[in-house]
Amino acid sequence: MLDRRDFIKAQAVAAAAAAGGISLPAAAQSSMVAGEDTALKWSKAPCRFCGTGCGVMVATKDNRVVATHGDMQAEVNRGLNCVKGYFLSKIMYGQDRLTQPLLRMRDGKYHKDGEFQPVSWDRAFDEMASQWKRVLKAKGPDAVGMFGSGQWTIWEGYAASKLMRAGFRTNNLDPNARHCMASAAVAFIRTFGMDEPMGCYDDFEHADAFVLWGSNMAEMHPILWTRITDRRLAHSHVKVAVLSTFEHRSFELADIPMIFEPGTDLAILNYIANHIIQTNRVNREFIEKHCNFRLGQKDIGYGLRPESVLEVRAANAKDPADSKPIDFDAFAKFVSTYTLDYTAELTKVPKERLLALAEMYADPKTKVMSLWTMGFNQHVRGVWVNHMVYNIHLLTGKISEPGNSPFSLTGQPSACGTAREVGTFSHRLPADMQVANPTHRAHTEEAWKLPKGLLPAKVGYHAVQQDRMLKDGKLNAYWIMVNNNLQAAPNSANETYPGYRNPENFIVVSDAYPTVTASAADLILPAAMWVEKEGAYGNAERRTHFWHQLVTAPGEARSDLWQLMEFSKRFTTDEVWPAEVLDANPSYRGKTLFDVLFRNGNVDRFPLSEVNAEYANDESKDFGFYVQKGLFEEYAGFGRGHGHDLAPFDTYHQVRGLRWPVVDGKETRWRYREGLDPFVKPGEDVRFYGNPDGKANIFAFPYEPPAEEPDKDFDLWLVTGRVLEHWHSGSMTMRVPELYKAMPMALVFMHPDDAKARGLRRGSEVKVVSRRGEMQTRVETRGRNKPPRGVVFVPWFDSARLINKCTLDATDPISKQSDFKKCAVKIVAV
Amino acid sequence: MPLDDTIGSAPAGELHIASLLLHVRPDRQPTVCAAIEAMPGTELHIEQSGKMVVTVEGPHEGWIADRMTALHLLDGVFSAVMVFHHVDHGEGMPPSEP
Amino acid sequence: MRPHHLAALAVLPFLVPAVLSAQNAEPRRLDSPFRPPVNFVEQNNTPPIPPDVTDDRRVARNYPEQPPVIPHNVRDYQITLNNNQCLTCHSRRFTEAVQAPMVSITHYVDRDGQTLGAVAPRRYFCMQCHVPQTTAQPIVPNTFTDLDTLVSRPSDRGDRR
Repeated sequence: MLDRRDFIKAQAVAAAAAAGGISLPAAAQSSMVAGEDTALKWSKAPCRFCGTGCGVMVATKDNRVVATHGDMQAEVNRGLNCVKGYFLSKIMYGQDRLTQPLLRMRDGKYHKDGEFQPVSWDRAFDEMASQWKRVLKAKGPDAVGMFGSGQWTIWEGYAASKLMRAGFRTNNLDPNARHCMASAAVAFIRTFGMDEPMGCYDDFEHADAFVLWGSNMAEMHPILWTRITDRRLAHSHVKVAVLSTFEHRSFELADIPMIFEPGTDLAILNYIANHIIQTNRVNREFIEKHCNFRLGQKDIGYGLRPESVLEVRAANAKDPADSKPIDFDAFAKFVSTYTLDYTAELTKVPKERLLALAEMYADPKTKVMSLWTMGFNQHVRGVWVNHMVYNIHLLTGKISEPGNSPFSLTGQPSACGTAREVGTFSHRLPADMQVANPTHRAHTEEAWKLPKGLLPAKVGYHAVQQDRMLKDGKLNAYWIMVNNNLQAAPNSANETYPGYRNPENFIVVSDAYPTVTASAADLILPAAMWVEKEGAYGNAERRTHFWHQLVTAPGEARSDLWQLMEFSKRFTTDEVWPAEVLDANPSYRGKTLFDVLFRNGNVDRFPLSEVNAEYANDESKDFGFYVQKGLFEEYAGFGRGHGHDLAPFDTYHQVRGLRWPVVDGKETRWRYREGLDPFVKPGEDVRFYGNPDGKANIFAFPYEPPAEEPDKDFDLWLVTGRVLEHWHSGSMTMRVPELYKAMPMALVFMHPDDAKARGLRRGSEVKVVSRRGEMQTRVETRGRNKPPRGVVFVPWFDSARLINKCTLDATDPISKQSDFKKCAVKIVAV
Repeated sequence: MPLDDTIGSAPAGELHIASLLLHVRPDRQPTVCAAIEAMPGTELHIEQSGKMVVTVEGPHEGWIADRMTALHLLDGVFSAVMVFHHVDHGEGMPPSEP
Repeated sequence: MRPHHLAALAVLPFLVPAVLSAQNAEPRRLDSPFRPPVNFVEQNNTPPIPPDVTDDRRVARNYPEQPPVIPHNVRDYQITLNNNQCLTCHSRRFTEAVQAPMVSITHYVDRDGQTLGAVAPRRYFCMQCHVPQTTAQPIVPNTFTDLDTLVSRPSDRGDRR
């Protein structure tokens, strides 16, 4: 047995050495403690959970992760983690890790209603390939699809995009990021012509005021919250405004707390714009030089199925994204109806608080950072509300400089890096390019060394549409990777589950754990996770962050990258590409998709010898070349030279991430401003170069009500969301004992008077019932979330209590992102 | 600066172990090393291109904090950042399951 | 193929929703064939809200960098701009009187590595890292092994097959 004191000292030294980037000499270790027995290998990695992108140091020993702590060298978190991050060590060690492919079988053959039986990878891919071929032959590329994730590593998302678009020739590829920040991404492109924030986390140390628009950062982005807390408590002039439909932990730091009626944030933003104009605080020079004004389409429907009465009744459900140019005066007139009186009445927020909030934005001396996530994005007017917050920053010129920052937060570790930058949406290609644009497709075909005209132009099915098409039998071969959509999707009992169990469909789920979604699949593929593979994520501030494979995946579990590439070997071009393309390009004949997509001279360009010998790399070993490097360098070619510039691959293994564009080895913290962004030329001052005219768009939109509101039958608003201890559907965090015990079940948080009025109290067993489904749980009236009367909050992490059976599959009609924050329910005693 | 060993109270049997990462002016490295060696309860483990890893052990947190301050104030030390702090209550090895 | 495994895996997916449900009972074994089949369609029973652990006994950490969990009730603790109820016992000034463990002095270091005279503002909200525990028993066991255990037993090189 080791001496305990020496043992702790050894860990202390190792932690400090790791923090300082000092390689620990073997002599220093063995001379210090009892033996090399205790020698830990510390390596860097980004956290596996949210979009904050904290750096962690991971200690491994004997091919196991034994400890983790916040990385002192990581700019994002400087040594801190939230409680989930501190328990990363345990997320890979739930006892029920999937270690073998499982196929539903009866009498030795695949059967839709069979029992799951372990099979070999060969057998699994044989069945899967034959199902894909059956569907492709019968119905063509539109009947196959894939649902991926903002948790894919950059190269996994990129490989998936190649396989689906170029291999199977369909754009039926969408990430679960559709549920998460599609509204933000769409609004970025429509406003600035380029996706992702202009500012970065450094804004936290520069701003004088922080406004949380529907975001509960104290629980969902705790490390960024520490930076706001730091700024607020250390500088007395700093103010924090927190807006939400219910009171939560972020209110503990609020100078201006506001509870508003669900959906009325639209009116508050128009009121602020009106206040800025009425009090002559518009930055005239800025809007004249850098902004256009547009009037958006109104009455655009709610993204429900077209036959829904709400869609039939909406005047402009068919072309929701339309807009036309107007001038400043027309914009001013448009927002002039959003007076303080009108807004206070509609929102039920006291006038003095609305005024104080508007003044934060209007006062030219106050640097404001606006922050939002799901409150804005999961909103039937999510694109509008994103535009509206840019409106008030643009009207005042408070943008693209330290501390003045409209900042869209993300929920997944690579929502930006993979879902958006790589372009795994059904309408996107890498580097903000679009599948519907022929020039963009031609450029992609060239970069991928593919025949001209191969890539499909038709925009694929988005997330909610995929579920509807599975149910309707139009999408029949479906691969779900790194996500738990049966728990996450809205109105799941009516619109998601039936599609998975539709006898016409073959559903494949790749995951590390047996999730609810896996339970409804036909084939389950065991996945390697996090540091069981070499990876790269991109966080919310444009930071690309790499890690090495640190341990081996259990059993036969394989990374998504390996699965995608290995599966591509099962198809030849003759089976999946049109004859006319092959006739015109005979050299592609007889090759597998693996050959044309991954042995194309780009992806297989880097030999195994370039893999860092200190770390394993199971995929590269298997395929015989440095897979991750080849994929990354081919992908990076899309963005270099025009504002999405990424550094060379090897650089990212050395640093704690870099914020793109990375030009001449230097990252960019603030975009679009001269002196801060290398793409803005001297004398231009500010240039929103994503748009050809260099100007940002200010849009005029009205307030429109939510898709469903409480009535006499269903008398309460239901808001869903997360809690600190669990990340998304809880498939990882519910398997960490400390996190499980801290928050073991999803309760319905409600106002004590609402409970009393129904004869309920804390702990009462109840059903949460909507027009679509029900969920059974217990009442919490004294918890951390304190809804006002008329509102209940239920988190969605609990696989035994699925609140998404109750939610409505209404989406923003432009972004197609679901609204998980507003539907009507009733609470009844069991 | 005299090191005060009496700040705070020390529950019996407590052992505080901390590690610090120092950034040092390379030309002052020898004098910094000597100063650390002369300081009771501190131990220099690694020095590498201007960086040092030092552990501090003591009966209570005040002891640790004072030495951290003292290290920070040494001539030639740019910064002394605490990376790790562990309090051992003398309960022996922790059980494997919490 | 190992037959016992086969049987276990065959029932596994039906158990999934129940696997993660909050129960106060003993952790049930995953491969038990006697569990009621539960799937997406069926409603699960609802266990009572488990009470918090309040025995004030310190729980050993899994590794030194792990924030200790809270072994007492924190319901209705006041944490506002002006008052932090946790620090009324755990700050340097008060620990002697109430016998509460003092916050680690790593908490005195700010974002720039400067040591302050009190808890750094960025560490103000204690429960971002330290969480109370209920008496709920995890349904899925976790096979994480801490270093102490790992070095005192023969290595399997991480083989988890």
